[in-house]
Amino acid sequence: MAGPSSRYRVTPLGVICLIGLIVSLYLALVWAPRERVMGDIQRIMYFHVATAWIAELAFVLVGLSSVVYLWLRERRWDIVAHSAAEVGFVFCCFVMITGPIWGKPVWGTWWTWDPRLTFAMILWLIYVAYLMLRAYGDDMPQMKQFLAVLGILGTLDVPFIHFATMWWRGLHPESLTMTPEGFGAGMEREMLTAMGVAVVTFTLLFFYLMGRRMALERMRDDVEELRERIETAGERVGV
Amino acid sequence: MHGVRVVHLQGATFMSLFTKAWLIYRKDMLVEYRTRERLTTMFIFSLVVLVIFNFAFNTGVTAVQSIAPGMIWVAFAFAGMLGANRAFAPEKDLGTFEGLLLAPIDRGAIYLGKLIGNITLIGIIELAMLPLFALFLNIPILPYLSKLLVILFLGTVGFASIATLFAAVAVNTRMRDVMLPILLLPIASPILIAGVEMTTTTFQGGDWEEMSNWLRLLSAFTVVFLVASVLLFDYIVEE
Amino acid sequence: MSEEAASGIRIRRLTKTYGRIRALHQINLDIQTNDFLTIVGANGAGKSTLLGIIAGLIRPSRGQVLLDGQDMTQDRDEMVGYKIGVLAGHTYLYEELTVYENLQFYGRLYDVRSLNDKIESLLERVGMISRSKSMVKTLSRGMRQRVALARAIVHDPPVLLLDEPYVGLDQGGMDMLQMFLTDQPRTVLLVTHDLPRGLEVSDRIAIMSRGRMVYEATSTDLSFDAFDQVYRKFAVMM
Repeated sequence: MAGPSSRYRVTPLGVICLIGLIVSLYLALVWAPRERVMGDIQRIMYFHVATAWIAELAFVLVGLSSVVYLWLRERRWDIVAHSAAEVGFVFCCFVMITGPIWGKPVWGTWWTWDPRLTFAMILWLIYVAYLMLRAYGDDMPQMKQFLAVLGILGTLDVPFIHFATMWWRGLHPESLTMTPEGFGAGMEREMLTAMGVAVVTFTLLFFYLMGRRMALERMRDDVEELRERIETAGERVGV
Repeated sequence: MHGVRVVHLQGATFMSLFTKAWLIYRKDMLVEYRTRERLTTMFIFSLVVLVIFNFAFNTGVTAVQSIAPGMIWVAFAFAGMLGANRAFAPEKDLGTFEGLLLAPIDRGAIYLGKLIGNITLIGIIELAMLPLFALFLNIPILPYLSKLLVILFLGTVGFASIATLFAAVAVNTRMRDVMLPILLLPIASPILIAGVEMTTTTFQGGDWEEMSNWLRLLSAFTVVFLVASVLLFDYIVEE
Repeated sequence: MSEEAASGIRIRRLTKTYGRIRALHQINLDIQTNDFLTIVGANGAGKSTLLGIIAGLIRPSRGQVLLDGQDMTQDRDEMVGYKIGVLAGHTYLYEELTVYENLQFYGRLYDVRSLNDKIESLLERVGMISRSKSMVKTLSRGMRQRVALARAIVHDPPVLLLDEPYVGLDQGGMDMLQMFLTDQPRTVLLVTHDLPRGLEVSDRIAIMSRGRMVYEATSTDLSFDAFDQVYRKFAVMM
């Protein structure tokens, strides 16, 4: 077991993330050209899209690590699933906040049941369900298995939620002109660059946070193991 | 050391899966016939939803007709959750569930038996409630009856497939009944969306052509989640 | 493996941890075919967990359980269920069904042949034939336990697992149970607080404490008083 101090070291990844974030902020808020139609508020999209992609990535990660956990029953895969869910949830909250912030000046309303937002909302709810099960599930022996099953079913659900929210209210894929995503021919090169940098940076940030979260969980396990050793040692001596 | 769960696809074992599931189903239906506990609660619940929704929306006749599909599916979803919960809760409380786990049967047979039971009971409720919906909401059901029955059947099977699974999970947690809607509804949202969309189209006189994409979504969902549930059920009931 | 070595229950380094709690620690145990082993121990010693693993309800964290040479701790093989009968605190009986219907359900679940005859003879042996059409919820605790016994052996399991079966039984019931346990050769694993009865019927005795097997002896070696002393010695340590 490595000493505790090694976990507090600032890793190279952390430094890269910090630099990346600063660069990304600059690119998005200052360097990229002002969008003609929407104005400066459009800049929030760089971060909205980046975090949305990660919220989905994290979700799939929860599902995949859950499968591995059920197969191998090794604690560390449960930790991966747990951490991905927590960090992914934070990113998902960010999506839910930046969406309306963008929406109000552009659409005139805080919320609209547009496919992307509805999709994010449902994803958010599944995240909540997962985290609630973690929190309120007791220390039941099967709890980790329940969570793995929930994670797997959630991930399986993603394509269905995608299509259902897209076809809802008669919206066809081609007519999605009002999406927050401005991909494709409509975007200037600088915008694409800023978008790309934001996506990469936030992805790195996600993995950095995942790493910290997993380390925290492992530390908790270590503490528990120590505690148990002390207890059993105490028993033997008759304390 | 932990092996991967092997799915037996040999003829004999496959048949016994359904034979044993049928035994459990018959036993459950016999108990239900004696007590009528689940049916009564599910029926009253649906009735209450119908009445409350009418008050909640407080609109004229035509407006009510436009929200009728939503009301119908919400009522059945909640009744379905109630029924699914009661498929497992008494067995867990009285300890008979362990008796099923000890038996020389594939655990998937327990899931299937409970699933068919849920589908049967929700089906009965739906048949009982349809005339009442027609009556209180002033909507013509008869011209669309055949389409409605198919849509309800498909939706019910899909919904019940995950409801049965999650009920088994929820019943094992401290928060019990409260956890089921939280776990189930976000994941079941594609079914509910599909169901409402198809019901709305039907009431507007639409034909199967118009709903074909929803039909495919519902069917795919049901197949995927049914198979997934049968495979994953093992992991839920094992300590 | 020779035929003899392959039969019976062999438990090797069985460990079960629930997160931080270690319920079983490196249990090693051999139970020969038709052996009768009684396990005693304080609450929380892990006796029920051990039974749970042998019954296939609980998946161990480490170690092996071999039943007639077959490793039970790998993929769950439902065939094992045919070999095991369980009598525990829960009666596994459905209250809204009659005694007969309960036995019929389980009999069919276990693919028992000539089920109706089997049910009748079993009910006669446990003295419940007159109440076969009664709903279980109308029966007293003692009567339910008798039906539960019939249920446990309806499929003639070669292995019987009993978890505190004497609780709630009246004298007649207890005598009947003792008779059942001894009249037919079967591998029996009995967990109980009732030391005298345990010693009376079993071939061997073991004590568990805090997830470990701490003592084993054949019951003929000991008189009750001698064993009681040993038990108290361990009880102090528990």
